[in-house]
Amino acid sequence: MMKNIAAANPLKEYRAAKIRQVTVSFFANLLRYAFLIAFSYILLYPIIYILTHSFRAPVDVTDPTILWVPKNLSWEPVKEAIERLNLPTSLWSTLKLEVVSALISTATCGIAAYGMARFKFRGRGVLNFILLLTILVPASIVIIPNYMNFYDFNPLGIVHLIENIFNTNINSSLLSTVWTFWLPALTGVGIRAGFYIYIYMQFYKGLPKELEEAAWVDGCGPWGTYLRIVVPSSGVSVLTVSMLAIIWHWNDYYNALMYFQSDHTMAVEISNFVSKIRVEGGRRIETDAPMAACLIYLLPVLIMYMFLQKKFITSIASTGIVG
Amino acid sequence: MALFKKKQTTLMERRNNYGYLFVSHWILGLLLFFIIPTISSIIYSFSHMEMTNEGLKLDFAAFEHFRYIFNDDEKFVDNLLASVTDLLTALPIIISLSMILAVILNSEFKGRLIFRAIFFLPVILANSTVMELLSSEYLDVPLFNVSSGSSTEYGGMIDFEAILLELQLPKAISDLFQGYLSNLFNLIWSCGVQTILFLAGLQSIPKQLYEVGTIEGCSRWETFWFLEVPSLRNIIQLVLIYTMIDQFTALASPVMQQATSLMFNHAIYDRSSAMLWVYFLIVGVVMSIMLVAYNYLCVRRWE
Repeated sequence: MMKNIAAANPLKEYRAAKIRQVTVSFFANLLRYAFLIAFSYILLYPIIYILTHSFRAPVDVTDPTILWVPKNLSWEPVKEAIERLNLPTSLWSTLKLEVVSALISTATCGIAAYGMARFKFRGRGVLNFILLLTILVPASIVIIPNYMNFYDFNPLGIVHLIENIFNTNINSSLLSTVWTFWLPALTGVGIRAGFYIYIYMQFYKGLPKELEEAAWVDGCGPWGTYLRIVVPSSGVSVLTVSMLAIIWHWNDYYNALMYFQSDHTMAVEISNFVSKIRVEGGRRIETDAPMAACLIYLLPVLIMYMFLQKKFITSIASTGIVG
Repeated sequence: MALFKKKQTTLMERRNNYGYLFVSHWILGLLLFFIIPTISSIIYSFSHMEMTNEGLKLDFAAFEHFRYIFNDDEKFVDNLLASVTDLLTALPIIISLSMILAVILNSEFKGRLIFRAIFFLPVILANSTVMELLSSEYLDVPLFNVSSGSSTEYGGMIDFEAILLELQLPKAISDLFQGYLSNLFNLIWSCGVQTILFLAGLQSIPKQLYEVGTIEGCSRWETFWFLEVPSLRNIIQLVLIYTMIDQFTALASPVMQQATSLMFNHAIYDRSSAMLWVYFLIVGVVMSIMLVAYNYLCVRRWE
């Protein structure tokens, strides 16, 4: 009956179709937003948790009625966290070890990747295989041998040879110097360097060759071509790699723990602090200082992410990692 | 003739040899900080190691450590199995979740940019020191430790375990679900990079293909299965590799935990090296089986 009327009246039919379409898209949207919001809750949870707990007054810690929003605000947890994190010192060593070597890696890995992507020299297949291994082999396998390496840094016996020839005593231990981070970074094997080389390689392979060949014909040497043609046109990949490098270096814990024991980095300080609290405070934590410490530790990375995230996401899409 | 041939290749050869210029520092670094340390780590795993005042003392021990970790160590074999099964159960969830997320984030809707920013937070936060601390036993943060029972008293989560008990499913299935639920947080948190990769892949599918789909009368569901998934086959492979590396080398995986705690808390380097090498070999075998299976079962059909 209904169908007959609808068929007889094109306007009504159109309206019914329209209504159906609107309801379907309404429910699809509802479902989509429900899904997205539920996920966002889980993803934002730690950040909200850290934020709300960082500024609670000590009175509120033991108040069971407070779940999220604190009743009294104070700087107390932040102050304690700054003190416990040993802040100016640890920030300085994080900057000079991790951030500087992240930036060095960004440059040196790009150079190595360019050589791998553009030149078909002998032994490239072997290097490709080793590159794959550097990504696959867990970093903790090489940490201890590298520690021994730095403890008495004697590459291929050269240092001891010089000692014997000139009859001097060189302090060959590199431990607790910046070189434990800078040397691997300078030679393109720093923290997760294999990933950066891989990203750069994919990007360089996608660059048009003609431009470089033109530069070559016009008399640019290999370095001239790289510095004047390739580097200026690889801003996207540099952004991706430098951001990933800074984040991964910022989060590095074991390297800093093993190689640099004089001034701890922030990552080491924060885990020392938190694991100490467990011993001191028993099961129930009576202070919000760990949360404030997490906030201080995350803040630089989060700010960087907030400013760069849009560019970062589009650049990951366009570096051609996905081939 | 030979002379001519040589002359023809020299220019290209000379150009290609400039490659050494670019990779020389890297070769040096690989040698000093990767190849030699890797070999010495293999040597450690075959020897008794002792730290003396004069330095390192190594005695050849043959397969002593390997025999020990398989026969005498109570936890190692269990941890190994746990690591592999963890990965195998997490893999389908992570891949399908990140693919769903990528498809949603790729469609047009209001607030897409904000949601994208939120969904890529794991890229910077996952595996970080802070996340490890938050999910550790030190800070009893609810929602991270769902299984420890601390969540219910905060009222943060629905009590899924009770619901599972009510349903009276077969034990194997309910165990599986319980594993997923107690791991839900970690699973969702490890989808960041994968979602980016899928999103980038989706955006590189040419618009014309979608147009063909609409003309042929494909529903959204059919478009997904017959257009998007096959076009993403290379990216699915990349995501598979990435996820496996990410999960296996994550410090949270049981074997890694055992080995690193031996290393850094007890300073037993020889046995932990042996553990890590066994683990690495098994990881390699599992990864290649997965990739071959993926190629045979899926890619063959889509091509």
